[in-house]
Amino acid sequence: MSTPLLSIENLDVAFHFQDGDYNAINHVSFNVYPNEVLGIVGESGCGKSLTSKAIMGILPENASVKQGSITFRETNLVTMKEKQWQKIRGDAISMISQEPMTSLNPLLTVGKQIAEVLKQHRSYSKKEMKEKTIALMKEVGLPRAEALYKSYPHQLSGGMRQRIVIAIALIASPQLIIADEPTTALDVTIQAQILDLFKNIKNTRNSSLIFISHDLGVIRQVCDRVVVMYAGRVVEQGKVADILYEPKHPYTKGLIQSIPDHTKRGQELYTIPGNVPGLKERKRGCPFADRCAHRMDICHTHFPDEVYVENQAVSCHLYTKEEVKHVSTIH
Amino acid sequence: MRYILYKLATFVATMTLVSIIIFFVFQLLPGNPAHIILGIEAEQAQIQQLEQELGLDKQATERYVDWVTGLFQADLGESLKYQLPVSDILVDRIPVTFSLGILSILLTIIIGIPLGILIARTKGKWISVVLSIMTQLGIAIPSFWFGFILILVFGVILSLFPTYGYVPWSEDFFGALRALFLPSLVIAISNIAVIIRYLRNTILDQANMEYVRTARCKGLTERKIMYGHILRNALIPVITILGLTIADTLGGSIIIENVFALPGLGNLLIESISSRDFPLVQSMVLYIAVLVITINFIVDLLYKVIDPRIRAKG
Repeated sequence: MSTPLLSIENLDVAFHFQDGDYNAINHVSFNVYPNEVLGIVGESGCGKSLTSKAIMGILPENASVKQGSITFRETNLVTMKEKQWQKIRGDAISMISQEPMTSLNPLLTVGKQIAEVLKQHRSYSKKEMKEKTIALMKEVGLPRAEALYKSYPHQLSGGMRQRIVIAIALIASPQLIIADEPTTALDVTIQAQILDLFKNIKNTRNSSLIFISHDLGVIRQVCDRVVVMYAGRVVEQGKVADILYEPKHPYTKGLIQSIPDHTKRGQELYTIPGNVPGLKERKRGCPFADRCAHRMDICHTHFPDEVYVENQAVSCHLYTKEEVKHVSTIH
Repeated sequence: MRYILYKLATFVATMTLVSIIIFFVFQLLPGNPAHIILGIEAEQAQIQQLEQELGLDKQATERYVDWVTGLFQADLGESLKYQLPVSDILVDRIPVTFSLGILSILLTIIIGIPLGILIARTKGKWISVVLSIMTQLGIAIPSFWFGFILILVFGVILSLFPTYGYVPWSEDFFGALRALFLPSLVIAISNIAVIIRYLRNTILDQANMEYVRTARCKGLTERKIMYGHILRNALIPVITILGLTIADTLGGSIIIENVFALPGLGNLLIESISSRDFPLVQSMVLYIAVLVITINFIVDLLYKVIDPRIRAKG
């Protein structure tokens, strides 16, 4: 494959509490290649949003990167100063948040809020900025863009606001766009429209996209590759088709089994027993061990190395070399 | 437009109601003005004659109508104590209180808002803690104490400002400014403290909003995020507080006008109450009510200018 646009290696992000530091992201490594859409999937609290905040350099005040690197265009973002971050944010990397209702400033016109990115990073004239903004508003599917330019967020519907938020992320043509659950807060019909918009972006723009979702069905529709995260760890990653049809990690298998579809009509829907362990309850070893039907003694003491099984990379003792032969003997 | 008309209608309705309440409450107060003017030993005929002159023999409703008609002709009646038209007395006193009030409001805004921003931006650092303690003191310590201390330090020891009295603006501009500076500052201190604390809280609330993250993700500097996004949102609730402060200040400060011997409305109010000068007291109560209602009306209109969500409801 080509050189990655973004490369995360051994990233640890910890929250600092009075009683010590707790890693919310543990040894996370993955790459994003040019022009691809990478999905990150996992339950709430698995660290997917936190990973995206680490990439944007907007971690909450009580969290920080403990070790590892985030390399973007050959620069390690982790060691960058705030001033350097500001040059990259919005211009080279942008972010779409999950709350279209609150992610716009209620006191400014939406046109101004889109154009503000250009004002910050480009030296266009006012007229050029307005033209580019209106052109993009049309591109993201906003009708009557000229009139909408001067409207305020409260005058728009949730779907329209999300299109504005997407326009803010696209206006400077960044190389990497991070979309954090961009459809979760929307109605189902609007969700489908916004997903179509993302497919469009994927086809027409030379940007890479990190698409974060808890919904594998959504991931399937827009992503090329997918990273499955569980309790701050990457447990499996690979091409979407391989992960969805040939999942290897017991957690991924459970996740796929619990997607409702028509073939399961009349049956009780599968749920993975137990809950994601809280931040302070995570022990050594594999965080999924307590919920896993295939757990072994080693699972409680050592987190497995990432190994390649067929086309995907998996972190599970079922597949580490010594254990592989026992797989068939486990129920 | 509908919004303004609606607000205007409520404005007129409130005014009417307030005038009725004020008028009839004053009717309930014990003491006959004719008695007060003529003294206890006056003869019945004299009292009756004066009552006729003052219109006290008429029905209360009739007198209310007379009073309101008078108001529209700038006739507030005659002061019992000074034997002068009330309007003449007020015209004398209002410039003092207004100068004092406007100066202290300017000080409140000029000092309070930047410090509010500073204390929010330095959250968790020592400077924020120090400011926080100072605002706590500013609210807790009574204003006359500040008055005495400032008179002592800047008036007596350093002789930078006069210790009391009023100089009309037309006579000596800088003299007036110097005379009013200390009392305005004293009035401003507790208001500044309130604004700082309030603005700090609204800024910190706004700073956690999702739209601030959007702004940060655009690559804006912290400065642009504060002044371009957070501050305008944070100031909306502060305007309400500021409006109340302005009404309160323009109504005259009884304590501070006494400490600095300023012939303002606060002083006049105390005088007229103690001499049972009903026409004067009644007019001043009406003035304060009109002031509060007018400023609330202006604040409502200001909201409309600042917040497009309210503009839309119009």
